[in-house]
Amino acid sequence: MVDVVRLSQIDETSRGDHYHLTAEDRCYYLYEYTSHRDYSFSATNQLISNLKKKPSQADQPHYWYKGQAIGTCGRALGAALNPAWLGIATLVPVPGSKATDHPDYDDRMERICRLMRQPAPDVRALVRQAASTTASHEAGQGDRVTVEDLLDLYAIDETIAAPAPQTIGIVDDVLTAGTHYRAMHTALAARFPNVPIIGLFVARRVFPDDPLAFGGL
Amino acid sequence: MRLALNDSGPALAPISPRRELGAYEALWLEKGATFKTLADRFALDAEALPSDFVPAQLAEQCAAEVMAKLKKAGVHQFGVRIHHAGDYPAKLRDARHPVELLYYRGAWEITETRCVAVVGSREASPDGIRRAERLARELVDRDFTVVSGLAKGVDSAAHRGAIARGGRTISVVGTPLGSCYPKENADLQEVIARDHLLISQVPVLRYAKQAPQHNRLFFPERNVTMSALTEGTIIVEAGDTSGTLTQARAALHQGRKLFILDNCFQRTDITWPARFEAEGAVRVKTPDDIWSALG
Repeated sequence: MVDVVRLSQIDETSRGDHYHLTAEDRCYYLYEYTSHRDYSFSATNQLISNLKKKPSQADQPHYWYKGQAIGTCGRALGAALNPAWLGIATLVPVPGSKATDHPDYDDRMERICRLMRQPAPDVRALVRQAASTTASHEAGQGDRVTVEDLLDLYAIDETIAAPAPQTIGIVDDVLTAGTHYRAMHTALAARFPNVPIIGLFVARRVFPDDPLAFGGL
Repeated sequence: MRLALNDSGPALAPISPRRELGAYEALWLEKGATFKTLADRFALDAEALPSDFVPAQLAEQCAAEVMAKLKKAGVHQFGVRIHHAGDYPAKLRDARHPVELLYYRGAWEITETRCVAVVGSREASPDGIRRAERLARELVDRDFTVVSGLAKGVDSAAHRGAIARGGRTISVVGTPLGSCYPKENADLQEVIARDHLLISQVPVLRYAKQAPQHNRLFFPERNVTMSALTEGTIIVEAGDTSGTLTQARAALHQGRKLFILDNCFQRTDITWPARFEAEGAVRVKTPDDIWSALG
């Protein structure tokens, strides 16, 4: 495991930064992404910035980095996961903010999931989003989508719901408030009761002046 | 093979920052624990985490104590970096006794920039202070981050020079977060923690429990980390028994560049400059000797 970054678990020291998460949620992340700073701030900010490049920019030279970032994230997450778990898990990518008919529809999380092992694990976009929303990282403070908004938009894709998953990993790039995770968890738990669900994130968001709110406990 | 690796859970040996923080502090409370004994222990199992050696309940108890102590000391926000977790700088592994866990306040990402340490005597001469400030300014102008301790004299001058020039600075301290030595640098430490980066590898509970004379041993160890974090160390001035020389030895051992200002060679009361030059240190007659070596 030399050079393999292990997953860190959201615990009492970091849960407050992601206020939609509860003590029962099992969420794991690899890195910390610093909010309100640009891509040049850190290697993780650069990785996430490359990952979020818009598909409508696919004809531009810098778009090449998106593919690189997808590969990096898929390999890093795959190496940090228990192969026995990955062998039986169903990975469910969080849908991008744009619906499939939008020019910026982005399947980056699905591609990351497929790269986590060879042969590819069971990756199913079980949660579909009916309409586009503003991406969280582009939304103003008051415009952010809520858990309820998302639950209205989310629907289980019944065409791929069988066989029922044994265990589910919800996969996303950045854990911010936990809004998408909470909505995904609610939708999936309602459809597949008693199936264990975890969250897997490339990075969790921290604020530049608020690393880990350890003292706030 | 440890239990964690046999876990049927989703992640391989996942890391809980709170549990590791508590376990690391518990290891430091064991009799005779030093950076060397801890490093030797982890060297036997390159994949071990502190929690592999400590009962969960003890780790939790220590974590709670650390939180309470730091909060009481006015530290309301801080982070940790843990070996094997994301954002732990691989360059720290070049230290002879690499640390498994660090505390910090401020912007950790500054460690990813090009860093150079400026260090020297606590009882610095006026010329030493002037040189440290000038070097810090020149490093900032070349987009390097200045790294130093928080001692009186050269260290403080380097930080102040970098801050005044609008640059970045990292302070690696020999006290836990929430303590400051010397007291007169408390304001400077706070500015660095708020606007730059303050790093401590000193265990909070052990420091609180042992006598001050034993806590002095943490100071030379932070010099080793300071060197590991940087591309090179510039020694402005230092006596034959200075803690700065710990950093000089560490820099050479770690394959970092070691720069010694020419004025050190001109002194007749010390012998270390020639000794380190023979081992590969660069004698700095003009600042260009530094810039050309750093590339």
